[in-house]
Amino acid sequence: MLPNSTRGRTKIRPPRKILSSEVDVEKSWAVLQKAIEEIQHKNASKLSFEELYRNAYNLVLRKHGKLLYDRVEGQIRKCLSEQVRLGLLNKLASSGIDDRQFLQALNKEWEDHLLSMRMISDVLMYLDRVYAKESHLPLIYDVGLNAFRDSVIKYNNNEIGDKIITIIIDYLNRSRLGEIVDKFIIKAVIYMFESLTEVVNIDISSVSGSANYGENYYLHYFEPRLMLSSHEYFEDKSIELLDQRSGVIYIEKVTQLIQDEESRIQMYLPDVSAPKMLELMDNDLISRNLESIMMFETDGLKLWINDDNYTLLQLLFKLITRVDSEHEMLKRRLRSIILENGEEINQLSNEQLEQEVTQKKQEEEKKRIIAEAHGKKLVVRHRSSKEQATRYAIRWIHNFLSLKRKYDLVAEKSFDNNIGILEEIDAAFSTFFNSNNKSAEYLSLFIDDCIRRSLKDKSSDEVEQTLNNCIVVFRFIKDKDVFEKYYKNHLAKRLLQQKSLSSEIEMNMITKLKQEIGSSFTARLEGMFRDIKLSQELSSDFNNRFARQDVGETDAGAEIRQKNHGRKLELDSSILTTSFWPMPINKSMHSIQYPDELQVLKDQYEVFYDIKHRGRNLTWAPNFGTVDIRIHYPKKTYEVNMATLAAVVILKCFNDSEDLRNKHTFEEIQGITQIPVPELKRHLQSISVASRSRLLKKTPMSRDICAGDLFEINEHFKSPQTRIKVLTVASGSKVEDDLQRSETMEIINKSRIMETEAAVVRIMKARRELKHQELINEVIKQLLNRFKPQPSFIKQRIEDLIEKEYLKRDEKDRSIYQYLA
Amino acid sequence: MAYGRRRRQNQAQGSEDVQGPSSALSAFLREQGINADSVRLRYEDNVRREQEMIERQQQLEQEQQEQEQQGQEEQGQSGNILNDNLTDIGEASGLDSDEEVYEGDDKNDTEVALIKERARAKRRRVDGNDAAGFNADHGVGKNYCIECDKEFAISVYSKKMEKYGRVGYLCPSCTKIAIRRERLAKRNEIEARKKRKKIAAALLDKQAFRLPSLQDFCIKIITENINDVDLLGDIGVNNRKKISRILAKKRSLDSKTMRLFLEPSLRELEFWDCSKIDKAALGQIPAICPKLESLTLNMCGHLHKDNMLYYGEKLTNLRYLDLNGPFLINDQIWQDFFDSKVGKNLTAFHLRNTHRFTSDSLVTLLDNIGDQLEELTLSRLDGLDSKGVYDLLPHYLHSIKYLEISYPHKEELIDDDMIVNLMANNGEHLETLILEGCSYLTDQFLVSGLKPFCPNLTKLSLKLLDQITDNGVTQLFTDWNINGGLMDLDLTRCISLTDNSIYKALEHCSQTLVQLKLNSVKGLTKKVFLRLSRNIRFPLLTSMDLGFVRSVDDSVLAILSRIAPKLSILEIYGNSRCSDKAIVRGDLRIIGRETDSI
Amino acid sequence: MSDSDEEKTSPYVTLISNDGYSFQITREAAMISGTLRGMLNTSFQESSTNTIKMHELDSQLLEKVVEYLYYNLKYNELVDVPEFDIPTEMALELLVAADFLDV
Repeated sequence: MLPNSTRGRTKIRPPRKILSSEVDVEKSWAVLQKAIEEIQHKNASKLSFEELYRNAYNLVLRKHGKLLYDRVEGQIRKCLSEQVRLGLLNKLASSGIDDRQFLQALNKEWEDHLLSMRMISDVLMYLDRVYAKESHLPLIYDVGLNAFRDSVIKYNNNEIGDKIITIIIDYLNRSRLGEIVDKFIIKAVIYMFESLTEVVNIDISSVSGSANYGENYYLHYFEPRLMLSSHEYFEDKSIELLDQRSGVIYIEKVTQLIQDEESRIQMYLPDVSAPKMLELMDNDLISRNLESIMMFETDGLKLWINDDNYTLLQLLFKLITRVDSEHEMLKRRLRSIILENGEEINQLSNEQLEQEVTQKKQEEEKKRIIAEAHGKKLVVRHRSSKEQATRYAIRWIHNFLSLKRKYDLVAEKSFDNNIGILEEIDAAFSTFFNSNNKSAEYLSLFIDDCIRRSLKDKSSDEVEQTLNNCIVVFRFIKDKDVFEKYYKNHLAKRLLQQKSLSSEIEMNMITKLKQEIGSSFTARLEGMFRDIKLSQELSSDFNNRFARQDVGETDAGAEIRQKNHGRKLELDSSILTTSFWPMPINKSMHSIQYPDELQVLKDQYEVFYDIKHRGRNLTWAPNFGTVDIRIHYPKKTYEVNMATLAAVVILKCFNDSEDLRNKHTFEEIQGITQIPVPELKRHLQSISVASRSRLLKKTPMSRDICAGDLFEINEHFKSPQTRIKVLTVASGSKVEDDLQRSETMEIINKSRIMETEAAVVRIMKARRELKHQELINEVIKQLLNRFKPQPSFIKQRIEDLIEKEYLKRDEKDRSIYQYLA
Repeated sequence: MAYGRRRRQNQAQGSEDVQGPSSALSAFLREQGINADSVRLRYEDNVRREQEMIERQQQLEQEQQEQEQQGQEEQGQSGNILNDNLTDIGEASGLDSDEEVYEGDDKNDTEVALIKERARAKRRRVDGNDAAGFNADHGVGKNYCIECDKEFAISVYSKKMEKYGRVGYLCPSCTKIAIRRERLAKRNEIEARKKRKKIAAALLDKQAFRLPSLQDFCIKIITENINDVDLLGDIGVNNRKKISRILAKKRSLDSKTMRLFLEPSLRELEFWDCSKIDKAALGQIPAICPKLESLTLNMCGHLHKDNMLYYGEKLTNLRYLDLNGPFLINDQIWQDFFDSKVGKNLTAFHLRNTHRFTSDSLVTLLDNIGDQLEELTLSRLDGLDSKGVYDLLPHYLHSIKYLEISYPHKEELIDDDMIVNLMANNGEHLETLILEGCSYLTDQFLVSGLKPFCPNLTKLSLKLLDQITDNGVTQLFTDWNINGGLMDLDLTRCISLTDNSIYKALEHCSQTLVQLKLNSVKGLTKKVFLRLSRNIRFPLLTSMDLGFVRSVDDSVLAILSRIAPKLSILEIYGNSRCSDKAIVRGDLRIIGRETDSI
Repeated sequence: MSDSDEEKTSPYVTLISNDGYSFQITREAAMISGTLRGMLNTSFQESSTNTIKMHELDSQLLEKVVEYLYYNLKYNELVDVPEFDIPTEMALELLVAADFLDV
């Protein structure tokens, strides 16, 4: 722009040079120095702010900021070091002044200092605003705080500071002992410590003028001492408590202690220290000791759980939560205690059983005495060892359930139902449950017992409850296929012998299992159920048609009747689908020679069934059936229910009315009936040895059936009842002995092989090509519901399948399998 | 008058609606005002209009209150006539909202108010939303107030409202209260909206909105009329700087105005835009200000070799020289300058944007002052093309505290070995290290150079170093015990970095960090912020750039607001997941939210 | 401290220019100036007399400053404000005054 273009326009006036164009630095400073002294002696009210501000302003404006800044700092330091500090030292030295008075004097000096600093920095506002900020120096107020730190507190190797710290820590310790201390002075001094910043190696003034950042005297000097003394205190306290060797006392006292300390922290200490103190305390009082305390034998976690001491357990839980949100130490302890409890269950179940037995013995002994007194002879029936074992199994599951319930309650009432802990409890239960290799069988037996007997006359709620409990136990079973195997056996027996209390309960149980694990698991169980139902319909249909006596009797029916000496003859059949049921087809039963009466029924039924279901094969399993026959003894006629095979013996060999005194040797009977030897022995035993059902007389009269024994009708047979049931040895569901078990396991193992191979083929068919590890993982995933296969087991199966040419290895990468269609 | 203005408004409104298909884009751009000035103008216009509306509303409110008493009487006499005629007018002009109607003088307002109510009454009838007891034939009838249950004569002024699921009318006194309440709410809302806009505008300048101080006003007047100033006088260092900077920004710093800032006692001088300052004016600097210790000349394309030599002779106190764009100065002059007694005195030399500073210039510089230099900047110097000369640096610079080497002519010129060597020899006192755009560098210089040799480093910029990885950064910041923490860290566009290394870096610097730039570190996820929120606080962090870190969302903003209590500027350009719903402290300015657009 | 002597705090303060003119303004307005706030808030002479002599300012400048104080008081919370009018020729002097008073 050309100079003349501005002609005629108003110029902006430059500011006038004020009064003297050159400031007299020394004069101005003298005014300010005097004023600072006056302020420090609380004589400010006579001073003119404007005059002081103006002097400072002019000094700064004329670029004497640095000089002013430095001199002000010097002036402040001089006052603090020469007057305040010496004054305080005098107080410390004088005997008439106690700690509290000293702290109060200190606090007074501090507050006075803050006040005068506030005034000084107000007057020097312009210095702050222009010089300090531009030069990145602390504001005057902070200069004052730093001066207090250096010239009073930390002067002479932290002389006064050390003294103060010692006093405060002493106060805190006294407060821990219950003494009431002046909390205001403590707070005030700590606040002062916090206000004193420590020089950090960075340029902080550019950040803000506030003093509350980073390191300060409190953090640097006080806190470490506080931590140390607190640590000593906690340690002493915990040793003192540990000496009492009582977990209850420790936990209660520590809980109290922590509460007290927390309120103390809140009352005296700044927020920065709180987390550190809490951590220290938690570490000293909880983390270090609590696990060993839980392990106290006389007064530890195990006992508290045993006593259902929910309150204490809750305290314990809360303490542990403080130090570890995962509660690892509690979990560890719980786990080992639960495993111990598992051992105890074994023992407990035994003891209970023995008790029961002794009690029973005593009762029977009494009965016997009474009977003898009445001149009667009472045969005491002893339980077989197998029955004992079954009782044990039921007891065991029962105890298992109540233990589980106990822990559930503890978790609910004391552990906030913490998910991690619940999982740990379940895991521990699972471990000890599965460590008993009979547990799956036990559960099945337990359910068997429930459905046969113990749920009788129970309300539907109780039934529901019991069944749900069974499911709870079921969840712990690792190898579900083992359980399935037993359950099927037991269910089969119940169904065939019609021993279930109600089919509703049966169905209910199956439904629950289905909900729990899916329908593939229960398909066969349901199949069994369906079979029985269909069989009942078939039987009644058959009997309606052929057993009818009057009008409409068919030829076949007439033939049957005629064979049965004109009396009605009925057949209840159970048609079992082979694949559903656990019983193997017993070929040895094939050649049995049935008596005419049965033979005709059998023939007719086969015809009948062939009409109904053309092309299906029926295989008879007489070893599972029973027959009702009426036997005329000289004195009395009895209706006897006995196993089909026993009936075959009687009817085939001893039903020849013409030769009542017929005698047959064992071999003869075997030859006539063609019943396999072991079976025959069993049944002969039940009709010739068992005391209540000695239908036949055996010579010699020994317990065991041997070759060459002679059998004849026992003419002296006598029984109070008209209807008799011949008990076949080994009915009902009982624990398997070791031999049976290994047989069962072998069967299970075979089915596992099949299932695994099926899974492999299924997966490979879908994926065509898969890496070894992926295949293993997939298989494990698929089979998890049934059992947990070992990778080596799966690998074996894969090898087999390769051999059978279902799969082959990839030629380039041997770890890849390919599916062969 | 009144009608005229209304028409204009209507027109303006109409033009918003009309968008011919052919000119849609240009109309849109024009309408949206896609240039800075029009944005401002339009915005100011809006503000003014809104203000007018409020005033009009206030007026109306008063009048309506007065009207209420008269209204009922008038109605019986002239109301019906007015009703028929004026309703049509009202509807014909598309009168819908309250604001548009109320214009002009008192009398008109009265009428218009009536019209509006009639129109409303008529609409009500048409809608068939008659409340119970409202007599459509008369328009006036007995009713019970829905608010206070008092019986009253319903009139066109009676306010309809819904309460407890019932629709009814308010008695005159309740109507008055309700209207006042509505108006107040509306005004507050308008005020709040305006405030939001102002704040958004201020945010673009990273400022919180506030009323200008008297000094601001004065400086504005002075800078606007700088040609009327002959002498600045004793206005204080700060104000001088402020005026000089504003002039530079307004590009009105020229040969004449710059003289205002020259005075004999000056020790420090900075001109941020010298593009209008000629050789003669630049030559005056040493003549008038012989005591200068620090000189900063930005965009100094006019700086002549004569100036340079003159400076080299006269500015005997000069220690700090910062030149940006002195492309008239050639290699020979640089050499002469560094050989001069002034050149030999320098302890700080910052140079940017010239291709005439060559390898030979640098050698002379190092020979003369290499060992005393505390600050050195070599940025965008395309004449420096010899690796051998760069490799000399480690043999000098023994006092260096501030070092910037950025955007070299070729990236290979600056390699790991040189930096490692430099740190090993001279890292002891280094406080600031800026290596922007030296993208040939890899993790190696971090691990072997910075980590073992830089105890005092507080500012580090690794902007655009795309070869450094998580591995290097993690190694650098893990247990970097000799270093007390950085205050300023710039990792803009270090695109290979992810959560782990950034966490380590922030963990190391948490207590000291003041400024942090993570712009375009795309690998960052929310996890790192969640993790920080659990363990780490940033007591000093004031400014942060998280632009184009797309994972940043409202929850991250909330976390940062909490864990960095002093954070006052947070840039998040390009992060579409951030909204104004984020819960942050009132004093934290968040810049670049899509929702904050003006 | 400001609240320690609540009872004797007058709602008005007097500013006197170096050419002898007095301006009585509300305390609230005076508080806008950082410098005046300092003078009135600490226990110096000015806080008890409620009178401040401004050695650096003449009446013309002081009047303008007072005008600004009221302007600030009125518009501080608002967003939409008119420009504060300053005669061009006074701008530099006023800048110094404003700097002195921290407004």
